[in-house]
Amino acid sequence: MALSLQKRKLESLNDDMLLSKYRSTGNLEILGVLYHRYMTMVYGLCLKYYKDRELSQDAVMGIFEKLVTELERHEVKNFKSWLYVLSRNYCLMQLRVLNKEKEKIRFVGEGESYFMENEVEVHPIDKGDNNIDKALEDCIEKLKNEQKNCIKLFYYESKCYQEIAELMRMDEKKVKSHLQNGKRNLKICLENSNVTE
Amino acid sequence: MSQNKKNIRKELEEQSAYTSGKMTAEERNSFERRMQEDPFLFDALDGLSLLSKDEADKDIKQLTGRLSKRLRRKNRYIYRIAAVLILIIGVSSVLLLRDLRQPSHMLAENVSEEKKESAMESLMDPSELTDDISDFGLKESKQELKSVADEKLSFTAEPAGGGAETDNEILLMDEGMDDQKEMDLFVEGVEVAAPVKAVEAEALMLAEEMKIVEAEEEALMITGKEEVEGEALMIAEREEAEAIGAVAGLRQDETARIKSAGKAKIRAAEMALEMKDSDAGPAGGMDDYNIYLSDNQVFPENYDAMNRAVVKLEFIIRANGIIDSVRVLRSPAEPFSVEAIRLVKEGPEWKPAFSNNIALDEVVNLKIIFHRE
Repeated sequence: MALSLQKRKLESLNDDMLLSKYRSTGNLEILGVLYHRYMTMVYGLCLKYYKDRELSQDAVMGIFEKLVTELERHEVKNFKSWLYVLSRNYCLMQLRVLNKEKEKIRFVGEGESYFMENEVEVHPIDKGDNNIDKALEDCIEKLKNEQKNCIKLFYYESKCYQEIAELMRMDEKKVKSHLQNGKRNLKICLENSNVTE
Repeated sequence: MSQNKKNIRKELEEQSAYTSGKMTAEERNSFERRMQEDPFLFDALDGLSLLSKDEADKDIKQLTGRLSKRLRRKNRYIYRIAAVLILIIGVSSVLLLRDLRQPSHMLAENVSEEKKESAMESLMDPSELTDDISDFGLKESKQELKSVADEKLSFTAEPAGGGAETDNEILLMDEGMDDQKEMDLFVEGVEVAAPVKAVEAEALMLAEEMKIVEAEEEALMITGKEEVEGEALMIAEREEAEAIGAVAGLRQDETARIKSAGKAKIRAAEMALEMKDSDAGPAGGMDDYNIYLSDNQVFPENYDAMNRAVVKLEFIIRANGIIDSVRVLRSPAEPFSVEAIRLVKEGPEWKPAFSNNIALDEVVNLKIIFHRE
């Protein structure tokens, strides 16, 4: 049928092309194809925050609506990372409403200020550069033992979370949080040493 | 060209291979590195890990369906225009119906758009009833009942005119008409057709107006609350159906039937008045609920040292009134928590929060005080 052929054609386009096609035609179905591409990830993200299937499903639909209105306002270059920020902020705002008491939302405790970031920056250590430069090495050495070990095992020795957890006799979750905290400290350390790229 | 789709499918497959532990340590590390680079993927997998593969598949399928449904709604503008048209049609049909029923009388009135007012006005339906009543010589009792009826309908809008008040009596009849009762029944037997029609037409109009409201809401695209509104409207519609049902079943005791129909109308109108802005609360009131709590609590055994304990609970009252996600904020000991939760779950119903006549989910904090007898 003509309809499904069109759909397949749409699905073969990349994000940028779909986005520009949507902008020029205003056809919501095009946006739908684009959104559907990342819907599983948005759902996963919502689950992480709400920990509730129904709430998360409703949120996924709510985020779609937000998407429609926000796209009219902003020029979006990288759809995926913009969607990430949009979804994250949506969930956080909703949660604030749900938890009327001014409880500190736990996941903010991971160190990063989710409200402030408008762009998702890639950490230098993740940039895929196999030449970890001197400044970075120095900063790694300055880390606390646990964080240092996790970073080294993960990035230098390419061990997976499971292995690191076994080696260091701790929970995988702990490993992940040591990695996150370590990276944050590295970032601060690098900024302090005024490294210009 | 189909690279992109393949890539995405690959990613999803990889995701499931990772979560089901089918990768080697090396593969895991490289996947994990990619997750570090892609925090979106990282968070998404974090959340998805809460579900089993089947649950996740089911949910995604459901969401895909919802999205398709949503996409069919397409263009906002068209929807808004359609809603406005429905509104116009609805209002004009309301006016037409009134016109047909009340040739001269009602047209002179101030026909307001408020649901409750129109409910009141149709109850005070004059015309045919007025004439026939006088035929049966109930003039004296009319006066008596007029004052009674006036009291009952103290929250009414402007009375329609001279004839209006007389009809209250028919619909909200009281004990005033003892001797006349048989004759009255006969009167109502004859006249029941009119009020039935009145109620039914009213119910139809209300239902239509509600649909208009529903359409309006959708047009305004209040996200996430659509299902919720549907529920609130359904509750009101159900009441209408009950009212119609009450009237439709014409049996021996006509009086009672018409009475209940009228009362249902008033109740619906009263509820419409109540449903302005309110917090979620026990359906029967907080005082009664507190009584329930103190009467039905079972002080846990083996805590003789304590005479008093306080458990703080938090839960969500959904827009449909369901109690959800009960959790304990503070409690002296596990048995108290368990008992507190039991009291809430097995206790009386809760009514949801309302804002602008729309039911909402609300988080509720409840303090339960345990007293040793």
